[in-house]
Amino acid sequence: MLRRSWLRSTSGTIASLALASLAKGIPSPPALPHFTPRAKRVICLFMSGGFSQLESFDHKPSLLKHRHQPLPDSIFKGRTPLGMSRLQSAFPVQPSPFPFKQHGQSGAWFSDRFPALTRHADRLCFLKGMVSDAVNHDPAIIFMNSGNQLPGRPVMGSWLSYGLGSENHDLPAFVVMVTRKTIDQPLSSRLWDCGFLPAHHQGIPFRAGREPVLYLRNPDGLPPELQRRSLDALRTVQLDELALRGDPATAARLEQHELAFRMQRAVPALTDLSSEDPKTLDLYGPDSRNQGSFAANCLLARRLCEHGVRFVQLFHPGWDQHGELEKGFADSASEIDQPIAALLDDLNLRGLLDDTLVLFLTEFGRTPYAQGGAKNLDRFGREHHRNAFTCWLAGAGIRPGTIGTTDDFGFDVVDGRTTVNDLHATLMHLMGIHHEQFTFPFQGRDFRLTDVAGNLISPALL
Amino acid sequence: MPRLPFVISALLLAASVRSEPTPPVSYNFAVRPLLSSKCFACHGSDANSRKADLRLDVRDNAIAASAIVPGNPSTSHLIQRIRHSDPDEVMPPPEKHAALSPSEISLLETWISEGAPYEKHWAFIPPHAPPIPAPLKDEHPIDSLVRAAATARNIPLAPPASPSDWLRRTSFALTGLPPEPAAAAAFIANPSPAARSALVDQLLNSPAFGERMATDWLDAARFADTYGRHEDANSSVWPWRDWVIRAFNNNLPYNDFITWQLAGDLLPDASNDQILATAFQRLPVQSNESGSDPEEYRWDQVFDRVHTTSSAFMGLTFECARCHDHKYDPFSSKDYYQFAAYLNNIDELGLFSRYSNGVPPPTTLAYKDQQQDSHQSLLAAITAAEKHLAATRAAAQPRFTSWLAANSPPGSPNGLWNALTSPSARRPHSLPAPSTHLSFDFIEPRDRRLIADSKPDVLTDTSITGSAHREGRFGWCATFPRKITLPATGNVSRAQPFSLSFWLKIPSPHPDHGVILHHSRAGLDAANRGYEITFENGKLTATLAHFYPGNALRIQLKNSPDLSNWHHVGFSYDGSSRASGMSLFLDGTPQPVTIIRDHLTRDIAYLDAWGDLDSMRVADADYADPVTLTLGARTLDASILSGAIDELRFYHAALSTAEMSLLAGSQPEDPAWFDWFLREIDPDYRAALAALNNARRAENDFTIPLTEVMVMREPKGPRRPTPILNRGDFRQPGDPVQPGVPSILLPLPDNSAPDRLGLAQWLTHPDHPLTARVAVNRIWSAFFGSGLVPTPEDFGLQGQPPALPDLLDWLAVHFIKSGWNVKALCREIALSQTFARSSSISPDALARDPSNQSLARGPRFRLPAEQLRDAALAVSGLLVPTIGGPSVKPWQPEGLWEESGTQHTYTPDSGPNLHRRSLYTFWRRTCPPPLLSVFDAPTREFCKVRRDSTLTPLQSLAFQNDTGILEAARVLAEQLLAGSPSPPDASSLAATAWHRLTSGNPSASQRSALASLFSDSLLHYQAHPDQAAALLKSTGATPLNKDLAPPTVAAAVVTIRAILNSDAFLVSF
Repeated sequence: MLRRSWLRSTSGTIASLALASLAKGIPSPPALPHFTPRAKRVICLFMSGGFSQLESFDHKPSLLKHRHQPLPDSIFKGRTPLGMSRLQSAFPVQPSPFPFKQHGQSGAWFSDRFPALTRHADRLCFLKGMVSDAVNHDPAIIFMNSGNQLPGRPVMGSWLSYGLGSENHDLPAFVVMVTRKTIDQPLSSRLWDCGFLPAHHQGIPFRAGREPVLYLRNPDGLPPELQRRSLDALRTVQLDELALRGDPATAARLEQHELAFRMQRAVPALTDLSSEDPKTLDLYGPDSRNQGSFAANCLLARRLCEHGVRFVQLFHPGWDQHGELEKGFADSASEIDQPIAALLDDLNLRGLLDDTLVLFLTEFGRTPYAQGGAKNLDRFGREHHRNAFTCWLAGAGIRPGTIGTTDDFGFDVVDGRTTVNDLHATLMHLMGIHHEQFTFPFQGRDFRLTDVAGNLISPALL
Repeated sequence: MPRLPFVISALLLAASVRSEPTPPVSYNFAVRPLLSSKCFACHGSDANSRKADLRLDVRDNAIAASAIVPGNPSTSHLIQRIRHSDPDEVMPPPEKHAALSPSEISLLETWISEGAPYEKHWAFIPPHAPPIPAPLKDEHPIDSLVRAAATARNIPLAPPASPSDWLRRTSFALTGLPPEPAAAAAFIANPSPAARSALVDQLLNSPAFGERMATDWLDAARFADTYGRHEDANSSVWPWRDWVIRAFNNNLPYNDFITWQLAGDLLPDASNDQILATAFQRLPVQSNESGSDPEEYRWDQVFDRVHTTSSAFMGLTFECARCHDHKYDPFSSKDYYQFAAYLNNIDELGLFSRYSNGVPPPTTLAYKDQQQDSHQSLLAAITAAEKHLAATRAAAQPRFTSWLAANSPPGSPNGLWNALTSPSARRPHSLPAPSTHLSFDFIEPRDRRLIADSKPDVLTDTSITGSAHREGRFGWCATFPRKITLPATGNVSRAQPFSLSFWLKIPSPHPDHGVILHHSRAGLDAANRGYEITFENGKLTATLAHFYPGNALRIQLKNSPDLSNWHHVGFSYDGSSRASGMSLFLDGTPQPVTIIRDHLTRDIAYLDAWGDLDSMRVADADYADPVTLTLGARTLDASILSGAIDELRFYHAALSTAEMSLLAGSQPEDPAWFDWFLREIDPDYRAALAALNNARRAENDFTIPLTEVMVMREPKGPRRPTPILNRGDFRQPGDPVQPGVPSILLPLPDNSAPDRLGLAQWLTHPDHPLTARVAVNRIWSAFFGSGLVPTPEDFGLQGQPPALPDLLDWLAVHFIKSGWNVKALCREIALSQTFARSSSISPDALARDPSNQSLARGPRFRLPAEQLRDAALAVSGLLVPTIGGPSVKPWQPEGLWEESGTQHTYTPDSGPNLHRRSLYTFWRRTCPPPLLSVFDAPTREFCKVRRDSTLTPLQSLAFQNDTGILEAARVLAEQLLAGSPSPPDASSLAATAWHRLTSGNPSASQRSALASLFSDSLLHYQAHPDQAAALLKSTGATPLNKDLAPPTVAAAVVTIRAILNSDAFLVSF
């Protein structure tokens, strides 16, 4: 009786009191959104390794004209090449092996490696003037995700989890999926780390196979009904503990046990694609039936969005073509073209594209000159390039079109330059957040995703 | 927005209930937080957002603007505006929703009427021992201070905790482990003050104390088992972790704890441990990505050292000042780079190696047992052999003279022909044969591969065609750019003498950087491991490296001779691991050289013993090829673009000048052949040389298996200059600065050394305002779950001030006076009444002080990640108490590393290593141990001095389903059942399990709930024995007790698992 009445009298405040007792030194989250958001959730398709703009969307006929000639000094402008190619002695211009065509009413350029995606030509907003500060994978990829080249800052998804929380209390707000394939450049859990934000804002990796979330499965031989029975006993134990010791965290922990139990049912149901209409699976392509493929992850991303997950991030490695670019790029492109096109269709069909923002990002682009100099041009590759690369946005609040142009060689941005901070500012804006006002105090400073910079990419906005 | 500390209300309350004169209002603890939260945003230090050009954070400005009229609140504009009734005039503006309460306004008025004194930030004033308010009999100052503050705030003090609760929390606080059952029973039987005291001593003296205290420090020191970036290879720094454990167990005074870690290497006659301690400064994350600029990454190490040193020891970061003057705290960019200058003087590359498994220098060897003595005697043997060799040489001149009478040195005109034709002529001699000679004249026709003259069965790996093969110095030559590899050639250790001889033609100007020949896998990407002859800065350079630059020899020609026609180049090395043992010859003449690097203590070869041949570590297949002598080019390095090379010879000996001269086409006079004579002819010298070479080889061989650890070591010579970097960009160096400290904290003492030792002395100076406060705050949080300053990472102006500043200061001053005695401080906290209070929370107490800032009740917090797992292992008896050693791999979900994209494979250990304490768990920075991560353990990529305590469903899942936790549950279940009747009594099983897991007793309803869980589970498993078997199969590798019925064990596992996930187990209470 005592227990029940105590619970009743405090039930409304249990959560807040539990937080108060836990959250020493942690500031309370701000009241967000600042204004009516255009997007409720985000799917971020991250092409890790350095996706070549020159083989995809930034069509440069000049490269063919100057094929294998030295990259003109008027383009290099006396700058030192960076990365591995700084030791290179020659910088022969290398055209793309893939033909380009214009598509849609907008006449957007696509190479022939993206036949399916072309049907969305009028849906995408290309940022062809993207620039980055970093030229090595590790700093560049963490920069694109957290706005800083060194580990320790929260990534995009963590900021949004902290600021906006989850729409579905049975699921995490920030889910990450890495394509199961041979990985050319290593990834790190820091790409979904929440830095100084409270730890539960880190991205939760969803994995292919029997256990989509770490530790989700009860051990073999412990069926759900016995788990339920066990939780009921644990409930009695906890409530008595609460009555005896009076710590609201005891009740809050009980809630977490219940939430975990619900997750044990909800997550496998969600990740089990066998309930999908075969037509939908076909739409995403044959790979969609292979767990852990990019196609399956795209389909899963749609399902997570339907269930209110705030930020779904897919990492697809396989773009670091320092050599043998033609085959490497074509292989990786074939893994993403149909699934992405299907995802956009699928979201659109279900009305989700109206309030879901889709981001197609990479850490940097690639040089217009061949890597390795004049040797082995038949097996050419391209070096990392941070001065100009292409990302695109689609969906909620996005005005289709092309922003940014590069010079004839795709080496520098001529106009419409957009930075990583600009991209982050725009992301925040679409989520109803003033990026400059969304901060977290840590070690004497108010940190924000956009650091000390970032301008809205207004032409990208409806 | 910082919360108002409760001192404000305490002061107000004190003012209302006491008749004695009230203390003046504290600017630091009452006024400043109020102004900061309500006013400074628009009237503070940030000029960009300042309104009406008014700043209130500087007293003179506030007075000049009449915002504050000291002594006269009513004429102060500040008060007038705050009290204004016109919404257009009132401050803060209504839209800020920050109106001041009447008590806040009256606080400001009182402060102004008292003269509106401003104060330096509280944490920048050295702590002074506060007066102890009317202590009760035998009351410890800690308890007096807490009692007085709580009384002032009208918060009732909680009663003492039960002996078993106290025992449990004390045991976790001091050892990170639950009480041992036998000791617990003895204590509960007689929980006298003497017994408490004895128990605390026993815990403090147990080796587990060091492990427990070390765990917190590992977060601050960002200790992990991998380098952290890009390929994230293993880093073998665990000997440092073991040092931390030793330091706590030996009760190393905290000032020494700081000094050793910052500057142990600079102490007089530094011991191994003192040097090893400096590994603390070598734990920043490192990358190994090809194409990285090492200088950029080297600066990242320095930045991280500044960040960690300031955060871990001072609770401050100067980080903002890296790019611009700090906005809130009084630190300028100059302060930042002066501080960085202390930490910017080691010979480091900034990257770890891709193509070797070398440990980035500077390093030390982590000796075990007698290894250091053995090493010293091996080094002494080398010195003795060198002396003996020199003495033999000094005595050999007469032998040479007499030898010359009957013999002629190589190349003499009175050579073979004379000997044949004139019997009285001297006996002729010739140069030693090279072990490899490539004249470039002979080509195998099918693949056009070059044939070695020295051994016709040796062909180069590459074919040579067209203009690559043209007329050379003698016969044919090879032209640059070219890569020619000679299989199985030129393999040497640093203890072996060798020489190279070749002809070279390179047009001027010489390349800034280019490879002539090398025996390595790559340049920078292999940290130049091996040896090489290159152009550096346009000058001919010879290098032997274990890991460039910190463990290498490099000499460089002082001048830049014209090589546009054929010239002979010679290089010799005597096996001494000294730059003075290297010579560069041009046309047979030794050249004046600059010594660029002169520190080589580890072999220049790629060794299996070091993992250099491990294809998982050095992943790219072609780099796993055997390393061999290669001409002209190498992986990921610049080639020489034009020129040619001819007549390459490799010798397993250090050729003398006379020999080089002869190879270059001159004929030296007889006396010049002395060194050749000694090495080739003189038996005494040859014996002495062989002995020396053997001694060097023995020393090199001895060091190979020793564990190498990154440490700090100042190189000889002038300090590396430290410039202020404009906007923190290493490409924009500005004015150089000298080592220095932010003097607002404490000026440097006179005659302070401008090195890390000087920095350590400053930090540990008794007047330093932060060091002791930060230390006691950290130790306090080991007992109470959080510090007296709730933001231990920020003691600066933006941090939250302590609710009990007097207690913090008393502890700090007392700590310094005790000689920075960590165990003594732990003992006093552990035996305080404050720590011994019940942690049960009444609704009233919860409402008054939800987070227990007042410390009126005992500590209650979820145990840290490591302690949760360790406790599960301990109660089941599985815990293996071995201290230290390489990190271990317990169970973790299969496929985690692989599927996260780390490119690493996780294989759990077997046997005892599955059950070691969690601080020994292998910590991969790109994928930290998941069970610990889920319970808020950091990634260890950077200094972290506070762990959040979150509450998530993933914790629930992890602790219910982790194999290691289930294993503990099953092993405990078997133990309990083995001692129970069959079938066991459900109720007593529940009670026994509860007691083993929590050291306490369940309530009646808890007991009956668990008993019925057991009974129901037993029924279930008796009906489904296959499930019982399946469950037991999921519980780790410890062999099952076959005497027990699987359904009974399975039911007990389910029951124990429930208790493991209850607060009675998870929480320190």
